[in-house]
Amino acid sequence: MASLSIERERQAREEVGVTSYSRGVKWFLSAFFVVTVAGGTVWHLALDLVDTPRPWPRILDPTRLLPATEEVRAVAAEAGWAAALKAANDRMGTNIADYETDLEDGSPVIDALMPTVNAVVTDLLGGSTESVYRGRDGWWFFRPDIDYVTGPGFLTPRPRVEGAWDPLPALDEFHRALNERKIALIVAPIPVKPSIYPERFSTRFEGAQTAIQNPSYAQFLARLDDAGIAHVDLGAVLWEARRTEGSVFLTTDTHWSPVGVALGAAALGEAIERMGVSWERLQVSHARTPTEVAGRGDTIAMLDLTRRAPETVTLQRISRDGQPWAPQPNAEVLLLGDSFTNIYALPSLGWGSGAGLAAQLSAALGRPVDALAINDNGSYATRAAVAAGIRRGRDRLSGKKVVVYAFASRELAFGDWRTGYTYDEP
Amino acid sequence: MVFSSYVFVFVFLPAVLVAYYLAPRKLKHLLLTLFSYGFYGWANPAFAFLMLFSTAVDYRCGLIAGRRDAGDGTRRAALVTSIVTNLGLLGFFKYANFGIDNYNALVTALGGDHLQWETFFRITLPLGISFYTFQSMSYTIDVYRRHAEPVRNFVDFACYVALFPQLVAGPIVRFREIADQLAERGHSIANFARGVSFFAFGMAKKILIANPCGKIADVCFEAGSLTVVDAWYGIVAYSFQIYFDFSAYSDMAIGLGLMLGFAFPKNFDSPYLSQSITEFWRRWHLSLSSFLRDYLYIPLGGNRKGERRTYVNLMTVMLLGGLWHGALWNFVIWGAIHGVMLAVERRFEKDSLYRRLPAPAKMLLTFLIVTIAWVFFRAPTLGEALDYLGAMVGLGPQTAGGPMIAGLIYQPYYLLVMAVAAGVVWLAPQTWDYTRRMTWPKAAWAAAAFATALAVMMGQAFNPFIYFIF
Repeated sequence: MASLSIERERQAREEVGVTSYSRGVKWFLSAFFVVTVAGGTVWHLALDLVDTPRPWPRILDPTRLLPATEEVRAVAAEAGWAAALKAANDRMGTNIADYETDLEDGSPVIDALMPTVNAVVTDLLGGSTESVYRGRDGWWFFRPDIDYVTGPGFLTPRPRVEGAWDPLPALDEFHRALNERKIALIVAPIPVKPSIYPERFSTRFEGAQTAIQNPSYAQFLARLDDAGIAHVDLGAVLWEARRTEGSVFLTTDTHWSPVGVALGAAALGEAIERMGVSWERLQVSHARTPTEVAGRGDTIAMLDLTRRAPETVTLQRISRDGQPWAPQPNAEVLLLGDSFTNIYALPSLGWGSGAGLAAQLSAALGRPVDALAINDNGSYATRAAVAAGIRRGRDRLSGKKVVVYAFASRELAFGDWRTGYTYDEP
Repeated sequence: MVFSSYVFVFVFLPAVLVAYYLAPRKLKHLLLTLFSYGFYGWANPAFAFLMLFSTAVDYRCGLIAGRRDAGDGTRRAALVTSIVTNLGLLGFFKYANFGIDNYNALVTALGGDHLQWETFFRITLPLGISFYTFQSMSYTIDVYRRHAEPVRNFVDFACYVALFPQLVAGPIVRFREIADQLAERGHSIANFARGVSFFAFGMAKKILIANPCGKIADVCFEAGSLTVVDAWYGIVAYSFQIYFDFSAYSDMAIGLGLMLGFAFPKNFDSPYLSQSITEFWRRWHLSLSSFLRDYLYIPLGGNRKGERRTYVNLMTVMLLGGLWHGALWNFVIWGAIHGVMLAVERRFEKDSLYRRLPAPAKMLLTFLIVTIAWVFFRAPTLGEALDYLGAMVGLGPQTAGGPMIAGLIYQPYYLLVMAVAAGVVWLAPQTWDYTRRMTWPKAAWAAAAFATALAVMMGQAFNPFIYFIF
């Protein structure tokens, strides 16, 4: 037995003994390695010092990893030293994670290399990156959208996922609360790009006859029906329209095109009208002004491919009495949305303003619309904001007849469907 | 901390190398130990104290077990203390959750829901605990058996246990394999350059091959439905991923060791060239298989106690080897598949199952068996493993969106990576052989591979090595 171990050790030692590198090769390899790893550090250090002069570069500051003494003492005073040690350990773990994030975010090496690396992987090698998948014919897809469509049913219990995975309890809670205030709720999951353009991602879907949804989607709609919650299947609307109305999604962005937004708004408008709401305000007319906008999609931004030619679309800017459209806090319709609502409304998304879902819905209804849209976390962010507003005395639901709750359908699979919010009239 | 991370390559590693080579000889081990504890504590600072505890116990037990004047009882008590401490730590941190979950499942199945044990916390698994407890424990056993002399300097022993290159995922370096090097080792530019070559190729294997193969496997294992072809493609991708991931780690560990003057033994020997499962285990994760052979199979009697006992021993070793990888029934089944195959091959005189087949067919058949067994290794639960196996024979569920994964997994980039992986697995020389004599073209190739891997690494998400969780 001893001989076996000695054999492995001997092999390793002998192996090192037979290393045969010429003088030039061994110096080249060693120098190349040292210059590469140390070069990245020196570059980062230099930039760190130039950007914010201080005696000690930030990336070499070990004190930032340590927990704050006062914080640990406070926990110790309140819960004892065992809890304080745990808190100190947790805090140190957080500081370490933050340090790594800062290091990578501030890295000049990463900044310099990423666009080239992504261009080579995607353009030259026809591949994808972590968050952006290359489609066909210049189309790009956001990874969670693909995961939503290809993954298991979102109504399958997933105990390992943090947060609440089932959307129904949250929607039911919201619906009941609004019902008590005599406000109608319309749930509108907005289909993701691969649902409507599956053939732009995989040839297997050429000739597809219907929008491709997550396996649980039909069951989800049935459960909404069972709970008496109104909903609009925008997937069916956009699928029908893609053949007749032109592209309903942007090729380089995760979101729908201006055509898609207008179609979505029209479908929502029709759904609201079908509810037979007794409006208290008269209808108003809006004007539409076509405007060309060029933008680089969010997928291209994620790839850092800044040199790409922008994509051009025509917005239908909405105005009333010559004034650009704006949400009306006293409107009878409240639209809760995410980035699908903000696109063409928030200039920071890179596709202009005045033509977002709220404006299009307002024009479709001929009525003012109030809107609350938060780009991320469509599963709870707006509900939380409404509940928080009520707590602070700003009741966003006051005077509303209809609430449209629109969110990217991928939220059904990956969102945190928190419950426990209260929407009672103050 | 992960070798293939920005913080390791551009902050930790330069700092270690500068400090190590500037430090006087007497301080080198202390420095390495401190850096290694920093490396280990990076994931969870508290666990560094756990490793320190285990180290202190084994150091003390080693001193007692190695005393010439101590009686057998005292020496044996030291050995038992070391084994109980290490296995106790391993058992508590690695298997407590598993035990509780199985107990709860059992009482639920028997209708005793009220007997479930609700724990208010879930135990977090310290990284690499399976590796360093085995390594540390092997020292006490070797000293007890008089196969090694006890270490008189605590820092030297702590350095051996914590040595960052192989701390969290091996190779499991036994004390007697490295004792001489702890006492005396040389540093040369040739060894450093070879270490660079190992590290460069290891980095390239991890970033350029293992991670993209892992992406394919992840997509396939997370898909709601799979075609037969996609399912096979996905599991072959996983076979490549796990080999390149783990052997990359071993290459990088060996490379870092060489940069610091250590020569770690080989951990892989082209395992997918094996023509039987018996041969596979002579080529795969050598440090674990030799550990299990020397400290479990042979003490159980090995093949010296009759045919039936040999099969029992083989199964025991492989089942425990499976369980060593993780507290999941999937790992037990994976071990059982290999154990059964080893026993069957032994029963039919080793390679007779394959005897009549030509060598490529034997290799393919072995790869097929290993690959099917990987399904249990990769799937998160037993149910998901069975679903995946079902998909491999066309019995999986079908969903409308599932086939869309083809748009990703058959992209030219991933097809290229799979082809390169297959080429390296079946045609390319091992890193050991390739780096033995470096010519200028080889050196340029190593430099290019390293630079490319670093550049691609920066665009990849956090991708820890698979064996970190074991």
